[in-house]
Amino acid sequence: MFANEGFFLILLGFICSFYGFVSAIAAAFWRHRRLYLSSKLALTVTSVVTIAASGLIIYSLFQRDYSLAYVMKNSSNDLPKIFTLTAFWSSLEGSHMLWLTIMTIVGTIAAWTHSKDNEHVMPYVIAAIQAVICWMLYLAWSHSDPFIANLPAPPNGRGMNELLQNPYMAIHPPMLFTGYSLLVVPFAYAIAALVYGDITEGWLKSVRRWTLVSFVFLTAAITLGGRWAYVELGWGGYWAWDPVENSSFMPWLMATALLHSLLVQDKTGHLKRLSIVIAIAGFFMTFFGTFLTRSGVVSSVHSFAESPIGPNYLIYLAALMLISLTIFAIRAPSILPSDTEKVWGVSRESALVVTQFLLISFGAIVLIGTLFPIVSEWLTKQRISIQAPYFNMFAPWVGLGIIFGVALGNLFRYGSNAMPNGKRIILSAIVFAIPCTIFLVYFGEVMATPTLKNLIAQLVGLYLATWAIGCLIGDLYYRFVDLKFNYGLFFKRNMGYFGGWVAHLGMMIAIIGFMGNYRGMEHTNTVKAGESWEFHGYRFEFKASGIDPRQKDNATNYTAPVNLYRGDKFIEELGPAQSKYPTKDQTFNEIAIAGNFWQDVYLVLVDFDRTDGKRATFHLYINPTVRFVWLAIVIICLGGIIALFDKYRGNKSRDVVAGEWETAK
Amino acid sequence: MKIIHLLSVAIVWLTFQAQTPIFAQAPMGNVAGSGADIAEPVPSEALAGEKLKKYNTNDPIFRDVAKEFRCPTCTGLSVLESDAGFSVQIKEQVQEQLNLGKNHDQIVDYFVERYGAWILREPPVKGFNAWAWIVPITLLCLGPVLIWLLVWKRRVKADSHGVRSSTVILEEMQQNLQRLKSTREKA
Repeated sequence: MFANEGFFLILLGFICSFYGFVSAIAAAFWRHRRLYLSSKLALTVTSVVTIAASGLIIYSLFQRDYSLAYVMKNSSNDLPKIFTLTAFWSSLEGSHMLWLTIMTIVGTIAAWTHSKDNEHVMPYVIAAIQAVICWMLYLAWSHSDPFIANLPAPPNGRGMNELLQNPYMAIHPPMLFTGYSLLVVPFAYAIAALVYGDITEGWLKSVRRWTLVSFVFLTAAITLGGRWAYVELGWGGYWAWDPVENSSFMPWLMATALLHSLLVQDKTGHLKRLSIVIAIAGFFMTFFGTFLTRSGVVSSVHSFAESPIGPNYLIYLAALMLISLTIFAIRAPSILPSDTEKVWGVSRESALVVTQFLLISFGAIVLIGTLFPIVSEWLTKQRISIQAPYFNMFAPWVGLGIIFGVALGNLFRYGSNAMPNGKRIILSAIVFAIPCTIFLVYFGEVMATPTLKNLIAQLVGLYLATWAIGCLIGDLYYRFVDLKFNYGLFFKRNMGYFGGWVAHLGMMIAIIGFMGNYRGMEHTNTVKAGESWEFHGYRFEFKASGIDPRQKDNATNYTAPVNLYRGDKFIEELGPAQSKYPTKDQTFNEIAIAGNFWQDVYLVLVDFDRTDGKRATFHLYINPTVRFVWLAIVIICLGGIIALFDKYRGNKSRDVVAGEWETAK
Repeated sequence: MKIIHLLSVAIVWLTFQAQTPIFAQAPMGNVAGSGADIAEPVPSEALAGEKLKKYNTNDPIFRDVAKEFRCPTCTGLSVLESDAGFSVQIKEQVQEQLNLGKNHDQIVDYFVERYGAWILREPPVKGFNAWAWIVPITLLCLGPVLIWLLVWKRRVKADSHGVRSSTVILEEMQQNLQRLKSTREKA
C-alpha cells in the first residue's frame, strides 16, 4: 500500500542528503555561513524523511500489509506485538533502514549540539556525515529497498525468523546500530581535522564524548548479542568467535583504543594523528563487518541477511579507504606535533600507548582470523576454517597484557616515571590477592578443572586479575588520601578518572568471568520419564509425566519438566523445551537456566520420543562464572556513563587558535 | 642496531618454529587417551562389529576428538556443540572410528582425508596457513619492543637536572615558528 510513498521518501532523503553534502562542501570552501546553515537544515530534513520512511514500514508491519514484500517475508498473522515491531530489523532491508535512520538522527544531533569552538570545522563534519548517509540512502533505493511491492497481497506472511523471536533481539540490533552510528561522528571530526588542517580546542571534547557514548552502546549491544546466543542457540556458550560477533567486536576494540589515545592527547598533546587514524579505522570497521556478514563472503549463523548488496559495499569500502588515506597522506603533516615536553619513557602515557597497542593488535588478530580463510582459499584454492580454538589461543595472552596494563598503568603519572606510593600499592595488592584468589577458587570450584595445564592457567589468571583489582583499589585509596578524603572535591574534579576506574574494575571482573569458559563441564544423557541422573553434585529428575506441550504466544513448547536437586535439596523445576512455530516444520531449542551466582546450570532438551514423550535426551552444561560477565559488563557501561560527566578542563593539544568565519554573516 | 639484529633473528626463529611440530600442538590439543599404547594396527571388519570399547558421547576421549571438527552446516561451532544433522553423523562416525580402536590423530587424518582440511576448526600449521600464526605472534612479540624503541628514542633533550636549557627552548620556539609559517603559507 505504501510502496510508492516509501520509495518516494527514500528518494527524497537521498536528494536532500546529496544537496546537504554539496552545500556543506561549498560552505566550507567559501566559508559561507548561510550555505552552512542550509546544509545543517538539509541534514535535519534527511533525518525527518528517514524517520518517516521507517515509520511507514513499522505501520505496515502492524497493519499486516502483505502488499509490501518486506512485511510479507518477515511477519505473519500470528506474530505477537513486540515481535511485529522487531520484525522491522529482522532482515537486511529493515536493518539497513534502522541503521540509516539512527545515523541521520545522530548526525543531526551532532550538527546542532556542537561546541562553539568547533564551528569552523562543522561544514567538514557535516559533509563527511552526509556523504555516508547519502551512500546509505543510495543503497536503500537501489539494492536494499524495503518498499518493494508484492501484489496481489497474500492473506498471510511467511513469518519472522524463529531464532530472532527473543526479547534480546528486540534490544540488541538497535543498540548495536546506535553504537555503529555514533562512530560516524569521531570519523567525521577526524576527516574535518585533517581537511581543516588542525585539531582545535573543542575537537577533543566532542570526539571524546561521542566515542564514549558509542563505547557504552557497543559494550551493551555486544553483550546483549551474547546473551541472545546464550539463551537461544543452546550450545552452552555466549561467544563463538563467529564472523558476525567478530565484526561487532572490532569496532568496540577501536573505540576503546580511541578513548585511550584521546586521553594521551588530552593530557600531553601527543598522538593526535594516531587518534585520527583510529577514529577512521573504527568507523571503517563498522561497515567492513557489515560487508563481511551481509555479502555472504563468510557464511555465518546470521546468514539470513544475505543479498546482492555485497559488491556495492566493497566498492564503498574501497572508496572510503582510498579517500580517507589520500586525505590523511596529504593533510597529516599539517596536524602539528605537540609543542609540549616530550617526556615518554616509563610513564602513564607510555602505559596508555601499550594499552592501545594491545587493543589494536587484538583487533588485528580478530581480523586476520576472520579473513584468513577467504585469503587462503583465494591464494591456495583450498578451503580451511578458522574458529574459536584459534582465537581462544590468543585471547588469554592479550588478557594477560591488559591485566598488567590496568594494574601498573594506572599507578603511573603523566609525564614522569614516578609512581607515588607505587611500591606500597603493588605489595599490598600482592597480599590482598591471596585471600581473594582462595575465595574465588573455592566458590568458583576451580580445582575441578580437568587438565593440569588449564588448572595452573586458571590459578595464575585469577591471582593476577585479583591483584590488578587490588592495585586499582590502592590507587583510588591513595588518591583519596591525597585529597584528605574530601570526596566532594574528588567527585567534582575526577569523574573522568573515576569512570575509567569503574570501567577497569569491570574489565577485571569480566576477565575473571571469561576464565570460566575454559573450565566448563558438559554431559549428555538419555533418560526415561521418571528416571534421574546425577552430575557435578546436582541431581536431575525427568518427571514421570513426560513431555508436556505448552502454548506460549505463537509457539508450542514441548517442555520436558525436570526437577533439579542439589544433594537432597529441591532447587527448582526446569523446563527445557523444543518450540514449534506454526510457520516452520523445524523445532527450536528453548533453554532452561538455573544455578546461582557462581555457576549456571544450563539444560537443553536435544531430542525426545515423538510418539509418547516418555524418553528424552538432554545436554547439560555447568558454566562457571557466566554471571560475572553480565555483571562486569554492567559495571563497564556504568563506568562509561560516569566518565561522561567529567568536567572538561581544556587541553594541551591546541596549537592554533580556532578560526573565525571569514565572510559576512 | 644490535636490537634490530636481534629482532630479525627472532623473526627467523619464529618462522622456523611455526613449521616445526611444536606449534602443531595448538590445533591438535592434548592428544587424548595416550595414543602410544593404542597405536596397534586397525582391527579387521569382523572385530569392529563386536565393538571393542563403547565410547559414548560423555567420554573425554570422544569429546577431544569431536571438538576438532567444525559443524559443516553452522558457523562457529564444533560438531560436539551442535545437533545439526551433519554433526550428528560425524559424531557417529567418530564413535565408530574410536570403537575400531583408532587414536586421536588417526581419526583426525581420516576425516581430513575425507572432507579436506576444511573440516578442522583450525587448519594444520603448515605452508601458507602458518602465516595465520606467524603474523599475530610476531605482532604481539615485536610490538612492545618497537614501542619501547620509539618511545625511548623520542625522549626529551634534557640537561642533567631534567630541565630543558634555554638554548633548547629557544631552538624549539624557532622551529615551531617556522612550522607555523610554512603551514599558514600552504593553507
